[in-house]
Amino acid sequence: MRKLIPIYENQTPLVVLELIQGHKIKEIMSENIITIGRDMTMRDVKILMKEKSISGVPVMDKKRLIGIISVEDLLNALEDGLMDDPVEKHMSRNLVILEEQMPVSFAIDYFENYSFNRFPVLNERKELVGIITSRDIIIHMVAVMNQEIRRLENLAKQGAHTEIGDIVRRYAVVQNDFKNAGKASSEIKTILIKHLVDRKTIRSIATAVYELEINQVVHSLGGEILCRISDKNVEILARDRGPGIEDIELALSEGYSTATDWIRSMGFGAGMGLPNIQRVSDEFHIQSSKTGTEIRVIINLPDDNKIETS
Amino acid sequence: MTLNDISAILSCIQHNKNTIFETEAVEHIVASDLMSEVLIAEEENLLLITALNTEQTLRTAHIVDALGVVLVNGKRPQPGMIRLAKEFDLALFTTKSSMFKSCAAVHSLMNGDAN
Repeated sequence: MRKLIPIYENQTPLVVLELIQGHKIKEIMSENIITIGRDMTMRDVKILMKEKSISGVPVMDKKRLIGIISVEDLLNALEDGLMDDPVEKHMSRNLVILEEQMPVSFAIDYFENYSFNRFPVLNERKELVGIITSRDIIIHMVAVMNQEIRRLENLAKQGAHTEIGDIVRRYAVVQNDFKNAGKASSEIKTILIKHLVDRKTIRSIATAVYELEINQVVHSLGGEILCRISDKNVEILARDRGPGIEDIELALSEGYSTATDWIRSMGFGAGMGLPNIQRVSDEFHIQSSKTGTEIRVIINLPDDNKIETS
Repeated sequence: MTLNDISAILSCIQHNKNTIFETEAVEHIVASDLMSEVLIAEEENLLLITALNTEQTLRTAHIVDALGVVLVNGKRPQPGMIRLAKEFDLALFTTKSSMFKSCAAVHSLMNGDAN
């Protein structure tokens, strides 16, 4: 069946995927939740929901979530004249829940796949910490979309200030997205081949871009790779959104890796990524904090290889 | 020693033949399942022997300008791999031989002491 919400289609732009996978449910859910006990009557719930303008309310047994009462449950009770029953008798017990650490894409999938209008959100200790509605997704995602588009617009303007003829490319990198890793380096390689750069230099540049992409896929929460190709050199700027490298010196030593077995099974985590990038670079700068890592690499083009970039 | 010679000695299934698989001589072999170790190679006219059957195998081979990839241990290529092999004009062969046996056979062939 065709999906109503157009995500994960072949043509979904990377920026959008990055937004919905890069933000967690915790960031967008409503945390001020009104809950009720199992003994409250349907009549009292009706008054509560009307007063607070809410369309669904979780039912708790002490700290444990045991059900949800929605407007639909109220209507059914009203129709059957059972408004003095305790909520326990009418609540939905088949709960579909989300976890606060899941990416927003999970919530969007749930709204696609289930007819519920809200999902309770639990933390790692399985305690109720929030509720998410499609309204939360709209409010938050429009806000981050505004931010991202503004950033891209500024970037495009900056692009206009680069030296005439430079080629500038930007690639979004999504956490754990092995499928798309390597697309940036392939494209950069194709551009350089068209401009007749020598094979050895292309190999260095493609290696650096590729290792930087893989690093972000494997180790970061997501990020971007910017490439600027001028007639003198290629500058690559890779920046991500964290969690940062704890010990940069250690990370730069050959064979050191924090990769998991899963990453190794994907062919990475040899502990050669950063050393490889350093090896092929003419300039290599790295800085890292908890909020992100930024690596700037410059690889010079041979003198006899002036490329026409106009 | 061409890709075709190697294919014959390892009884390979040829999932993609590139334009030079019968003509260009393979000069160096890189055998590894970790792609960063492959990227260290600086030689030309490489063949990559690996058990890693993901698209990243092809992307890595493309970056180091390899002539082709042989997947060992009877690994079957993932669907995206054949598409990428065509796109990058890389030979993509599979063999039932293990990594060790494959390398030993190719080594013998390289030194001219195969039958």
